[in-house]
Amino acid sequence: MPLLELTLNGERRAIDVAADRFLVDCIREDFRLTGTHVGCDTVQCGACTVRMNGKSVKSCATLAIQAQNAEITTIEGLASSGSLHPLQKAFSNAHALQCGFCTPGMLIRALELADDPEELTHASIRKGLGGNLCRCTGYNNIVTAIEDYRSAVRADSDFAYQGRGGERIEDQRLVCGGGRFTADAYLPQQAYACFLRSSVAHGVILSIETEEAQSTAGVLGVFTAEDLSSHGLGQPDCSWKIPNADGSSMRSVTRPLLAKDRVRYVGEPIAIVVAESEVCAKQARDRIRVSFEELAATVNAQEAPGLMAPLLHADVPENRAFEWEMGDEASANEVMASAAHTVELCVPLNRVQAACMEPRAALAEYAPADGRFTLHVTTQNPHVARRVIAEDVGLAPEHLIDVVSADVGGSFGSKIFVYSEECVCLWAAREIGRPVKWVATRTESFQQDVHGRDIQARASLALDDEGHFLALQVFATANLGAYLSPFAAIVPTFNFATMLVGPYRTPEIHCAVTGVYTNTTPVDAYRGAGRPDATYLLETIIDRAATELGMDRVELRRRNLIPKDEIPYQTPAALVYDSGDYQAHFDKALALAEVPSFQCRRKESAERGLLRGLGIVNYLEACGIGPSAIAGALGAEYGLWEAATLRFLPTGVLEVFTGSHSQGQGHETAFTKVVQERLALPQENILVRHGDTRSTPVGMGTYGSRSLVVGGSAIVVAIDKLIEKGRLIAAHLMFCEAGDVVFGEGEFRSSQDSVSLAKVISAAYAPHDYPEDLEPGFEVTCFYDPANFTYPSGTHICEVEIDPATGRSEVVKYTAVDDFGKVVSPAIVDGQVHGGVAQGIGQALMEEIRYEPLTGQLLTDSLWNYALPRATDIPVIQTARTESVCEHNPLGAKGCGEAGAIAAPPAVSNAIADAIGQHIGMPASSERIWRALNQSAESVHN
Amino acid sequence: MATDYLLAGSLDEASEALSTEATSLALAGGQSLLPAIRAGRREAGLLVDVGALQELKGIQADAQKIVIGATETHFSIANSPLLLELCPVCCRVAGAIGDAQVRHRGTIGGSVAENLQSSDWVVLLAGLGATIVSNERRLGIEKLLEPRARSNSEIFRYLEMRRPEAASYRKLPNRASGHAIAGVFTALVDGDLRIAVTGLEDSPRRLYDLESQLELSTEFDDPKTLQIEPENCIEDRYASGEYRAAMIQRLLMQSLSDLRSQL
Repeated sequence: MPLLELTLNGERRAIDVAADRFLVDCIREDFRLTGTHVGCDTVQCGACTVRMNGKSVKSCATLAIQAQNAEITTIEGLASSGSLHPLQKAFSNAHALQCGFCTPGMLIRALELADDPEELTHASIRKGLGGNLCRCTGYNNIVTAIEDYRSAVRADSDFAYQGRGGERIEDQRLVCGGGRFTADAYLPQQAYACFLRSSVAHGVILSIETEEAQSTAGVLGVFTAEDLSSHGLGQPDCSWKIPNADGSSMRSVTRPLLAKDRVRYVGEPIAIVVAESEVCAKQARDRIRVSFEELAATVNAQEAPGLMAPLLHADVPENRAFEWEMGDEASANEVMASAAHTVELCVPLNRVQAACMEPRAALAEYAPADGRFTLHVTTQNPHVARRVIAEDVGLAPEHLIDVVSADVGGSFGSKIFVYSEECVCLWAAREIGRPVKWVATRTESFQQDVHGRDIQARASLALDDEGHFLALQVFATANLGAYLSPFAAIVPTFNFATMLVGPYRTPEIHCAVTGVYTNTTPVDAYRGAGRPDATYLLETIIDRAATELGMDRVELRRRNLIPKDEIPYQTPAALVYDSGDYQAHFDKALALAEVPSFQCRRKESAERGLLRGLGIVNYLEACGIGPSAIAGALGAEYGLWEAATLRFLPTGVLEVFTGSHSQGQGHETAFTKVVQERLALPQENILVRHGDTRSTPVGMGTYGSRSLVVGGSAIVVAIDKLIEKGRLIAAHLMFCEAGDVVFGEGEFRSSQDSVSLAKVISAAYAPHDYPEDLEPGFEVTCFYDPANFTYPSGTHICEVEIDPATGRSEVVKYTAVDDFGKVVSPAIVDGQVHGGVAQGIGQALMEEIRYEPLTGQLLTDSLWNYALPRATDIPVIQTARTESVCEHNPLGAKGCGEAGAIAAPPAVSNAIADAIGQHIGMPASSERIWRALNQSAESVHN
Repeated sequence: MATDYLLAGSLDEASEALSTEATSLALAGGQSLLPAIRAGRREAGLLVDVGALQELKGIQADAQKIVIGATETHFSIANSPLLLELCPVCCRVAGAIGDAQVRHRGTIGGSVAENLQSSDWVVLLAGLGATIVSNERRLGIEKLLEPRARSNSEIFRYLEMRRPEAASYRKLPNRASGHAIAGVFTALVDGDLRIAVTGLEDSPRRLYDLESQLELSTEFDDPKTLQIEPENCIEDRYASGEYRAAMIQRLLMQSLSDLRSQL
């Protein structure tokens, strides 16, 4: 092996490397500098960016040996003598990072850009970040951080690194490359796994020959479904079942860990290979021979149901998983028939993917001495994962499985689920007696991680003469993919249909949904999960109604908004809105977005040869899931409460254990703030801990914008309990009745006396003269079950410019006014809106998972052919808020994680329709816009 | 396949290594080749790194001729003061390839060798009728574009082209990859109009017919007068032939207008 000598972060280093070792692997594995990440296989994401001889390069496209005698700086080398680099400070201050996975590469490139002596404009900074993808932030704050840094350097001050409201607790490690992502963990003796996946969309497995792979040097084991089933292993179940409209049971077929007799989508795992190295595992995998009898495939949900379509599952006639219905069809028909106007709309909602920058990963351990499994994994809900692996998969009893998930690099729904790979790695770790590690490639992520959306809907809206909505009727087909994913049944049904009301007074809603199996990757929750689809449908049909009725779309919306004085409002779709003031955010947004002067801007654009369009949407979502009683009534197997444990350590530090789990949302910061505001503790005396079943109370995790409103509320109630306990101790110390003790400003006071919190904590652990009825220690646990969902709402307004010659569109102005109730951290909330809007813009303009219709081959299997928004694709997003306080949780908060992804697709889409005079659906690719413009031009000529 | 690595100390050494070892490949910046190897889409028993060979480096330009060493990076070409003065279109083409990190390592020679069909450089080289000088021969760009034109052991040394009096490159990039869905290069060389495009079948290539039909002085208001037939355009998952044809027409019109503005 050649000797590589280089200067790494200022230190001379020498190491033997294989000739074909990549620089990124050398940095991560040989030097164990794990801040440099890998997020794609096509040199596009930039997470692996390091500085080499003064220039930023992608270390996944550089051989280690090419760094011979080079000077390499990784993220770990940016800070000097314990002090952050000013740009790191600027990133933290401007909240320019969320999950932190892309941040190391982003920072290295941003620094090169920021130190460019040339004059940089806002636009040129965005362009300069073209080689770095971020899925969380929407880039706005990254650009701000770079601008702050440049102006501070110019002014020779560091003033600008304060006051933007960021500086999250988690930033301290994430800006330094100190994140602890699953792939960053290395255990002694760990082996590497890779999976053989189906190359066909639909086929019978005739044989799997593994002998050659087994005998490859370095291979520790090759296992197939047969091995798993001989140990009686099951698979994750569908955890939320819904009834068919006729009362019968839905037909649930869930994803097997490894395909046994049949494969049903491209990428379905068939076998696992475990070997001494990743390279070796992959070589052996390529020596496995599988022969298939290929079957006809169906990928389109409109074609999949019916007698002619290829059948996926023997016991699911016509591929129909469920036929679900809400509302009264006859009654809705009646309203439609007698209404002054009915407006029709047919829309497909494009299939997309969360595509978080951190690919899924697992590191599985088994300790034979006590029969205990430990799984390090990329998950949104460690305790749920633990239970599913115990209960559904049946690997071991729940108490013998620990799930650890430190930092998670984005998720957006895709990491809720327990996937095959982590289960099989756990099993393999026991079989081979060594830890087993697996990290997905980007192609595997596109093949195996759940996809989102893919609902085709036909809607009718009935209106009276004055434009009042009378009824909305929707017939939808949901493409579920090849198997039913755990929440797949609830997303296009309850999550979708109940949101068809939105903030409007539509008295009658009828919705019928058919769920269909197809030869595609399973579809499940993606940021918004059903709500974006409903909002898109509703806001699109309202625009169409305005056009058809010749009404102003602002006035039409205004006329139908639920007035503030009708809240609480019982919707016709089962929910009760507890709070909200829709008029308030509508008015505020119209003013802030300068809607009255839009025509001037349109004219200016026209002078530059561009078409400008305006899109205005309201949204309302039910989140903070959710009340267990309602969830149970709707078919959920689990409750949706959250838990918190608060523990004062004897030295005065409060440990906050939460069942919520951050994937970039900044829980450590937000929860610390919640505690600080109530206990008046200094920040350094609070430690928020999550993501580890070994220490946190049994909890339900993070999804459905629930962390603050459910998990945070659990913390608040636990604080009350903690103070209650403190009053008992204080009363004992002050020789008075607990009833006479009040807590405030960090001390307990009676009418006569006071005692500091520190003294109370200390007494709790030295209960030398305690009364009999007082327990030692200072620790409480609270389980909090919300009384209702929360109902954030808002108005998003978007302007696009389109070049009619090419069809290329650009979002040039975006305004979001949201009502999230009470806000704990404004910077984090703005960041969530930015990120959600960016993903929504992605869905509206460029993102689409595509399959070859006949063969079922996945056409979008890398970032080379699946377009994620870059910094240049996202405009400056102006945010503002109104506040109507949630009535039923102690924080008054409503949740903000999904709002942007819900509102942005119709906002952008309606703006495009406004610009080109017709609705063309999503994604509005350049060619589709160009086609629409040319067709209408031709029809005008004709 | 395990891959070996050789940092070539001389062109002869590189050449010999490439011709003796059947599964060997020349490695320059590696921005196309290395990701393909990493993802298992390409294999090589031996990578012969030509990055240290001085005879593959250098940028020369005078009033008549431009010479660019094969391992000059897109970055160095984009920022070459000499080219900025004498052939700025080279700088613009280089500066629009990939992203900053890729431009720092990716080379013009590697781009031509690895991405014959999709490289922006090839459009420019076709337009200028460039000659590629390798360790084995001098090769017109059009010869290179013929199937199986290049042997495994051939190492590009430098690219030689006429300096255009005026030139423009316009492309419509794919949103995901940044590669040109359609691209048009126009130039004036010795007063003659040159046009090369990508997005047509068998492209990048010169459009000789169009060159002889067009008068640069004619202003085009309607790009449809520039005859590009959809059935001659590439039709794939990224764009239809019809769209490509329209975009080539559009880019051509813009590019010609750029040319006029340079006169």
